[in-house]
Amino acid sequence: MIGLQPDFQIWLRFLLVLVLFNITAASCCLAISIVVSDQGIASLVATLFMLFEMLFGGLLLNKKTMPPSFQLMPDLSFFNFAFEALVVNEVAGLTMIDENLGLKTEVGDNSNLTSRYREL
Amino acid sequence: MHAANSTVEPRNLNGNSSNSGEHAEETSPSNHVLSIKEQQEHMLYSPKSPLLLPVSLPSEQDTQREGNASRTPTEGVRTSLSITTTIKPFISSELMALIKGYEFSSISLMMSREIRAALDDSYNNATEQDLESLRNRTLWSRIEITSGFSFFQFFKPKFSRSGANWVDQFRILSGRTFKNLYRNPDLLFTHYAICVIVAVICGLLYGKVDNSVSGFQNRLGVMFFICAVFGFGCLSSMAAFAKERLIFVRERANRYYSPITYFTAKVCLSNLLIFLDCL
Repeated sequence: MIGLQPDFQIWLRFLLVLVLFNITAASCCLAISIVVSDQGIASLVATLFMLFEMLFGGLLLNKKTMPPSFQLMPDLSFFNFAFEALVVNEVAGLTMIDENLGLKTEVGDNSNLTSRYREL
Repeated sequence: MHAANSTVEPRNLNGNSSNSGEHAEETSPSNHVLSIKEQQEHMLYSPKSPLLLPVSLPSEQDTQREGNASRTPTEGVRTSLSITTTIKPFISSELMALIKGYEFSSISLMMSREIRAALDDSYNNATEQDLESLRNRTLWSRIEITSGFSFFQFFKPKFSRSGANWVDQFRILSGRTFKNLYRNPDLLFTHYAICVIVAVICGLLYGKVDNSVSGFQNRLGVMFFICAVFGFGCLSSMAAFAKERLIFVRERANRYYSPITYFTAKVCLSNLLIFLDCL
């Protein structure tokens, strides 16, 4: 329905990344619920933890312009890895067609998009 | 009269002593009394060797005085410490009547017989080393030990051959966790319904993504959104641990199984559920 790439291998990789990500998130939540005994506090802590993961996940913040003291934070965020894997899996090989003032220009292989996430 | 470290003032709801004057409850105010909660926490949370129990064992006078009344009808083996000798008498009299009624009922009698049959069975199959280790290690000397074998097999010092090995433990625990899961159909249905609904919404919102800039923004967005949905959906599995926590603590205190097996079983099954979620 969404029209993502219909290739079977890409879909398999998509599924693999999702499953791994889900297992990681579930393990983190279980760990939090073990450490914190009160259920209300536990859900609060878990929500905050997920939000921080999302913050450093790559979409809400630009990794290159982060202050140097926070440079390690994306590496601690499993959201980051999952999101990067999903996006790279999806758009690798696609070309972006940019439409400006009625002109359609091919921006070419969108390595600019993927290189945003790859720290080479 | 009683050991000083664990007496409690009798809290009688009816205002009369529930043990009909057999024990004169006196706590000298200078002794530090452990409350029931502290006693329980001590029993549950301290690294427990099977020998140390903070509740006072019934003193000699008690057992002699109450000896005949509290023996279970099965002569010889006292298969359980009668509750009337160990629980401090703040139990109300109705409850005490119920307890005594059960103690002398036929159900209790049948159960004691079955327990004794099982004990004899396992005694006949026990090796000499088992008996030796038991004889030397149990300090609970007020229990009559017939033929050197105690009912309290839980207090074996380590998981020896008569305890379940970890594969069996894992299997049993997994079965139990799985039953807990599928006996909770609302949670499962909600999970699946949420997945379907989110998929439909994503499909309708994003439509066919094209190759323009907005298309790429859409792709990024939908990936992020799916991750967020799964990430927050995992919070629901947290409740599972919290509810079982007290049960787990009690079981671990009695060394039914080691914590690692419990944890592994639970994690695997939760992950299985979430894996089905993905599909």
